[in-house]
Amino acid sequence: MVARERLAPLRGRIRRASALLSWAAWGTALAAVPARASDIIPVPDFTDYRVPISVPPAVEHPGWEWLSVLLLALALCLASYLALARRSRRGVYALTVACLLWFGFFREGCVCPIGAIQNVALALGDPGYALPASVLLFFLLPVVFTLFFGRTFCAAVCPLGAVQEVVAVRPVQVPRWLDHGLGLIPFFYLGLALLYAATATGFVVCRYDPFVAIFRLSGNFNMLVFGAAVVLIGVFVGRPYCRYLCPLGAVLAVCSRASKWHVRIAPTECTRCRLCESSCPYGAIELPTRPLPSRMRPAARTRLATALGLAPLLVLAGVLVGGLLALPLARLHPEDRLAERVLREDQGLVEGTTDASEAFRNTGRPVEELVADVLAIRAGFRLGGRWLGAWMGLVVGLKLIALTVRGKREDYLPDRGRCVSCGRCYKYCPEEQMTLGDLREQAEWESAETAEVASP
Amino acid sequence: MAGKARKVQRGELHRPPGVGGMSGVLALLLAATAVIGLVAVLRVDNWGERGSGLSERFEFSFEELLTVDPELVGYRETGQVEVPLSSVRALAAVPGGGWLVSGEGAILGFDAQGASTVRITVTGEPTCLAVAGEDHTYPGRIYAGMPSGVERFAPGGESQGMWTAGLDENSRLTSLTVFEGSVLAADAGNRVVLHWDAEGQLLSVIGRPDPSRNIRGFTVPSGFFDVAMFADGVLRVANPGARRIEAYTLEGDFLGEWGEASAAIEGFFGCCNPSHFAILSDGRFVTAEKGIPRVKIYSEQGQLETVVATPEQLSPRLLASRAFREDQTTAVLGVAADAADRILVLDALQRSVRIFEPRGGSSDAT
Amino acid sequence: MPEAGRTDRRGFLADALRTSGGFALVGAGGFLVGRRGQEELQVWQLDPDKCTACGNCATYCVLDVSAVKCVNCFDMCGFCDICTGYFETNYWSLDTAAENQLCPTGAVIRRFVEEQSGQRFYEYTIDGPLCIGCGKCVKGCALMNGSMYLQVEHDRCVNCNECAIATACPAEAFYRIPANQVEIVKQSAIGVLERRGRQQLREADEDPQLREEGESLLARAAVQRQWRARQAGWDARQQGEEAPRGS
Repeated sequence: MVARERLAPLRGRIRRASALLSWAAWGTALAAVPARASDIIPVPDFTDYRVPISVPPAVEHPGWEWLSVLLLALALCLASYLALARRSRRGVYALTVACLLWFGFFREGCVCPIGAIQNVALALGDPGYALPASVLLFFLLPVVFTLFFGRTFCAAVCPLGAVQEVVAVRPVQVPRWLDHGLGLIPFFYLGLALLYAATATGFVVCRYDPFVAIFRLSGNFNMLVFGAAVVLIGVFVGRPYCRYLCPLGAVLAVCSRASKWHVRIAPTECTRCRLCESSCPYGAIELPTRPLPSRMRPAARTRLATALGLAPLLVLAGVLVGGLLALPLARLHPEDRLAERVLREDQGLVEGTTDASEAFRNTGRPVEELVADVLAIRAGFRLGGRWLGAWMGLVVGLKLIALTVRGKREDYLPDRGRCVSCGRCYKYCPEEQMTLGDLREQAEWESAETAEVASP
Repeated sequence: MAGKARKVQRGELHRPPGVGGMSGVLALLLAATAVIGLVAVLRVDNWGERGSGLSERFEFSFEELLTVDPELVGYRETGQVEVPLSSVRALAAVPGGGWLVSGEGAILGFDAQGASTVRITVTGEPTCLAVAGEDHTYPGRIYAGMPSGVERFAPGGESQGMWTAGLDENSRLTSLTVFEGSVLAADAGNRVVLHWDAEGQLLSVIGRPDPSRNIRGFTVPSGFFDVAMFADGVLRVANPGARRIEAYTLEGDFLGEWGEASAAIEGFFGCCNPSHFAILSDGRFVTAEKGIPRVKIYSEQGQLETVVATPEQLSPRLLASRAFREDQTTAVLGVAADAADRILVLDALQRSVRIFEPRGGSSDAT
Repeated sequence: MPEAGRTDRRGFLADALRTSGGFALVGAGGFLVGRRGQEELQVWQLDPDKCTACGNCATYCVLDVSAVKCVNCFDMCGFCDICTGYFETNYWSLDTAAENQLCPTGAVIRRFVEEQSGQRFYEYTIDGPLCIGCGKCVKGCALMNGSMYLQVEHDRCVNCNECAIATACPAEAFYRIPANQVEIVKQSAIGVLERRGRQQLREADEDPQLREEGESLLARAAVQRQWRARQAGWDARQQGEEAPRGS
């Protein structure tokens, strides 16, 4: 707000500046072309010394990313096969570790499908950015696979998921209320990440990726601390990043709800034995519902009606609040910070200069031009902020509706949104044990019983 | 089969451990870890605002080079005349008083008070200028070094044609000087001084390496290569690579040299200095350096006498900023001594001619 | 198994969602990739004309030793005896003693080449493994020719999707460039490379190596010109677009 007040008196000048901008732009375009012939410094004429040529090292292995795309597709096929057809927890786990090694430690985590969302958003927002087809495929493949098979990508392919899958050795249940609350964060984070990517501010998801420093075994100290904290939490809380932060997780959760096929807990028929109830470290198993007693139905109906009525209001409130958040949101943009700094310096509000303000002053670019740029950026954020607010309102509204709707379930089923198809629950199901090797044991027991019944 | 399985009793199944509830202590620990992680993330300095964090020995300090002992500064700035051109390139004093400045598309004349006298429109940017004195065959004639040759102008500005004798595609004229019947030009491209008569007839080429005549040649690492004639009939040439000023006869015989490469104020700093020089009426030298811009006066024998302009005066931004780029360092594009021995400095950054006079001198009132 | 009716309804809804989602995604993706033509891999590089050698490259890279290193463009180098990129500004003597050297890691190597008309010429090369990309020599060299400048070395760069140095760069000098462009040379270096390339071709005659070198120099320069022109065009267009929105 303060910034807005400070910028206000400049507006008049800026209007003029922006009128001049197109000219200035042409000016820079022209200035870029000629280099004064006599300013180019000739090398001495050596008698028998050949002036070396510095050749930059080429970009190594330009084929890597296509190999990675291929491996991603293969891993997705394999993951879906292992989780849905083979129902092999061991196979899924082995694939997880393999993908952790390849995509995580060997390819060092970049580009990952989670980050690729931002590349796509940037390509939408900035026509100057060329989206490489491989990056697009990195985003599309997991989404398309999820539309058919559920979140098998999360289960076995994503290196970030894999780290957490591997360390989740003492999982505990997260209280339902907390799980629902924190579960909203990925959707908010997704909105923010898209906004920042589309405004060419930066890729915040990559910036705050807790695991990439671990994959590279080097990086910013603070990010290593953050990574360690997430891993430590991950020992007790299954997949904390996937559940409470991952923006791609949010996208895939939605896709997974519409998936053609999805893993089931029981291989054949659920016997409602309750054995799987506490098997999922990710809180993704939904219990069968009992029909509501008729005396409670009106209250439930009222709740649903309230939630339905509230949703559009929340969206509207989001739009209003989002518009106000434009300035704080824009603070993450380097030019916004720079303009703020330069103006404060000019008004004598701060002493000295920063590297950035100094670099700016060295370019000789007029402050008015910078301010005009920043005002355009802020206008972008005002629009984007409203969309973000609307999105957040929508997410909260839908969540409230989802909480009031009681689905009709007779079996123990995975919550398609939360279930990452890791296959941990298979082993808990007696049906599964019967179809696998345990069958003989069961048959023996059965025959013994039959014999017992038959004997008297 | 499925129907029978319903009868299965729990105790007889292989049952992996389930996921338990969260204890209070664990919840607290996890919350604490989450807070630590969050604080760590918030403390990440994404914008490099806390600086590089490198230790002091990684800092580049040229403070010592930039500061000049005020005791040594014997001149002060007494005036500044802006040049109304989009760029400035060359400066020449007019023997009777005043000066000429060239820039993109024009040569502008000024009188001693800085009032505009003549405007000559040209195509391109004259890279060097000279104005003939009374001793020359054509007094008042203006010579301009153009990319394609030497162009002559009448004192009023009418073009009198161009000559190209002795020039080739490598030629880069960087300086012109006039003496009696001679016109001399420094060719930075070929690293020689060309000597013509007033009609453009090439008389000699001075400075071609020739061990038999003790001529080592000029080292011209950049497009700065200045020459000047003095009334004694001796040609002075700045050999910038050697950081010397050398003396030659008009026939091209080497007479002597002075100058020393040094970062100290007494010497010429950098790869190729002095970039420009001029000769005062008493034979003393005014030198200008690029890179770290400074203008100094040397005695005829090459002893530093006084400092005219400090880096601080010539390129304030160089001092103000630790980070700078080379395109801002060529602050001075010419020096000249006018008829009153005032020192004129062509300031490329301000696009103006700055006038310096001795401190406490008689001609303080301008 | 749930009853048939529910399966139908749910299944139809899911199928509809899936199909429309799939079409939307593929369509949008195709549009995005198609809009700027088939672009290949992109990598990070810094524009040395914008660089202020602030030192952030040395410390903000996710690698322990930064992927940014100094390059000396020899065809711009003056081969000076007093190299401001090599010697401390308060050097004691013009020799290679450590206390005279500007580079804190001793990564600039000085080698005598020859003496001409009393001036001694030296070659300055960068010892890659020692260079940490602090840019101290770049600042020093900027006092003279500015032939030394920083570049991202792509045999070391892990090509993060979000480059930490790019975010921390105070001069906003980092760009995503096509992988085959590899470098961004100084504007002033483009002409130098071209001249060297043409000279090599002139002298090549029978020497295939010289010819090849000359051709690759000209090709490098052409790529640089193209990039600069495109950059200037985009800047102009973007500012033109944003201006009305801003006011």
